[in-house]
Amino acid sequence: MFEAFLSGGGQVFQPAVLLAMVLALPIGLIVGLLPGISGISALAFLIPFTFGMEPLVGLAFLLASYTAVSQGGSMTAIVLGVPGEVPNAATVLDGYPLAKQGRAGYAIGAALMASAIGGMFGCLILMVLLPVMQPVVLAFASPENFFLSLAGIAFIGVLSSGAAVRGLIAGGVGIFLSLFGYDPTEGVPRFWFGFEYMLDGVRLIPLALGLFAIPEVLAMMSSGKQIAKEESIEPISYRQGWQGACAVFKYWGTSLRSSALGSVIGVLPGIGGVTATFVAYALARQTAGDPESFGRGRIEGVIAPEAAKNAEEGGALVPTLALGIPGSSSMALLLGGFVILGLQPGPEFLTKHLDIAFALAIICAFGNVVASASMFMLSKPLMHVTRIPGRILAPILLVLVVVGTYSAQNNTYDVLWVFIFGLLGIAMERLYYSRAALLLGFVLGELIERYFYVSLKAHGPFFFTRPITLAIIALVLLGLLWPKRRHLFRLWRPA
Amino acid sequence: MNRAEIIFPSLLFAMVCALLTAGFFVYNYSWTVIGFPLGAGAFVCLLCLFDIAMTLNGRKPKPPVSDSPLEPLSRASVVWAFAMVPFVVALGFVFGSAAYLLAYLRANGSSWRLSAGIAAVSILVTWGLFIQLMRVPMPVEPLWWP
Repeated sequence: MFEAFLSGGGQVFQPAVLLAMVLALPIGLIVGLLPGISGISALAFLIPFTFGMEPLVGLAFLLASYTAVSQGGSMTAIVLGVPGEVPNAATVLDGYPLAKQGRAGYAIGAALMASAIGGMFGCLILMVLLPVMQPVVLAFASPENFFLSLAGIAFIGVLSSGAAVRGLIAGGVGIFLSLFGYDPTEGVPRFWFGFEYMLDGVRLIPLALGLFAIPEVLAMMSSGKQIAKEESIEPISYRQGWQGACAVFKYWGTSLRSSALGSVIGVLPGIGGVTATFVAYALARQTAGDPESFGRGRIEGVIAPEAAKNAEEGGALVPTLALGIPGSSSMALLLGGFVILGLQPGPEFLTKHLDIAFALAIICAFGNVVASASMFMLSKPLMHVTRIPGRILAPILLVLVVVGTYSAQNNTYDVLWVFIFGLLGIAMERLYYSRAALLLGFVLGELIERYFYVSLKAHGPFFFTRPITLAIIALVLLGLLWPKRRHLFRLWRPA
Repeated sequence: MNRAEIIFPSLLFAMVCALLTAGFFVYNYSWTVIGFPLGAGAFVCLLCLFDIAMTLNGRKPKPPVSDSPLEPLSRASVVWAFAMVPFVVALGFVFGSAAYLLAYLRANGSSWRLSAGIAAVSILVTWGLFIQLMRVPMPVEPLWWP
């Protein structure tokens, strides 16, 4: 196995592979900076260029761009309050308030370092788990996935500071909205009212951009002012970014916990990056000394989702390579790329091409680090964006949101929905209903329903008694009760 | 008491109830199909009623402490934001976006040179980057065009 690792490492540093990565990284970064355009778009755009390439060169080309996309997405989340990709919505919660305080550089530095560390952690997990992965992934069946999704729901209350009931309402509305369209058990379309667009239900990208981007655009249009407050503005320098990068090591517990959580969620097919980022954020909040300061510009609120997101990508490669089961829609496309390049991921792939699997893990780690470093170089001009007057920036942003929303699925109705959800987002923001809770509920609602029915049919009504599900329940309770631990110990101790 | 704090949960309550009623009585969804939405909807409705009752009793939630409190939205900004839709419908994504940028920036005090420059860059991005390079099948012609 060590020989395979060395061979894989050697293959990565071939000039053709390095050149492919250097070409792909800027494309990924640009795609990431465009709101609504996700890693899946970058892959779809790049796959045709891989025809005729050597398998490893082609895969390096695809993977490097894919890893770079999320770095771009977190930049727009911090600087503009607009998530580049849906999972970056969790970064908006504390990253954007930091930008408003004139500390965008600090948040960007922390986000990039957390992404790099999370990405490397995910790849390390990938390398360690690849040879022994099959039993681990197969141990997670629908009951375990059901409880993992339910664990995400349990954190909805945590995301809604000071207004728990309104947070739960938001989460419930999110779940309800996710149930539109075809029902997963009988295939009957629900709540579509003869409107063909609704057969596929409510779409995630218009919802995320409507909830988060439109209220910010409107606020900028109304005030006409720049994002960073003038009275608290700091001079633009790389020093801010460096301080942010150092904060990741200061809060090493949050970084590692979030990376581990992201990797675990990534390894399990079908849970997804949005869950990883929001649950990591909620967990960071729960374990912090003063959770109430989250949402006002806490740096751990940036570190946690960023580390979890990039670690999740490394983790998602595990089932893709080891079992041929894509962990996400992007991984499904990557799987197509493998086939085009003449490789068939699965258990046999690991016995025949373990060196390529290790090479891919190294490419992923390398891509994360190089993308973070490149973005760091770009951070200074990006920080200047927070100082452009809102009356100029807002319409540009709105155009990007509209065009990005359309490009996600090439559907004009998505553009209308982004405005409808924008109205919902404005009302929620002003009445203290958590938009993050709605998004998390939306992502998890459909999963919960599907896994619940499958668990019930396949494992009977006592599906929750499986050992791993009990362990998940215990871990969730531990996470939720952690802030109350002193109080609980006091109750427990005899007087 | 802010009236919106009653109206918003009431609207959510009404929307969820209307959808569930239509699903159950008009579309006759089976229990398997309607079961989960019914559970989620009932949860939302109960919480909405609870929230309304709390607000009426003067026990509404504390607004989160914020370093940058929300500023009121101007009516003009709302109109301008939603004006993007007619621009795109009338002129298509490429030219509609550019025309919108030109109109907005000029109306809000930017110079002709800046407004026209940004509009030109927007054509370059939508047409050059999205349509030509990324092959997004974005309609260049007006959306009402048959």
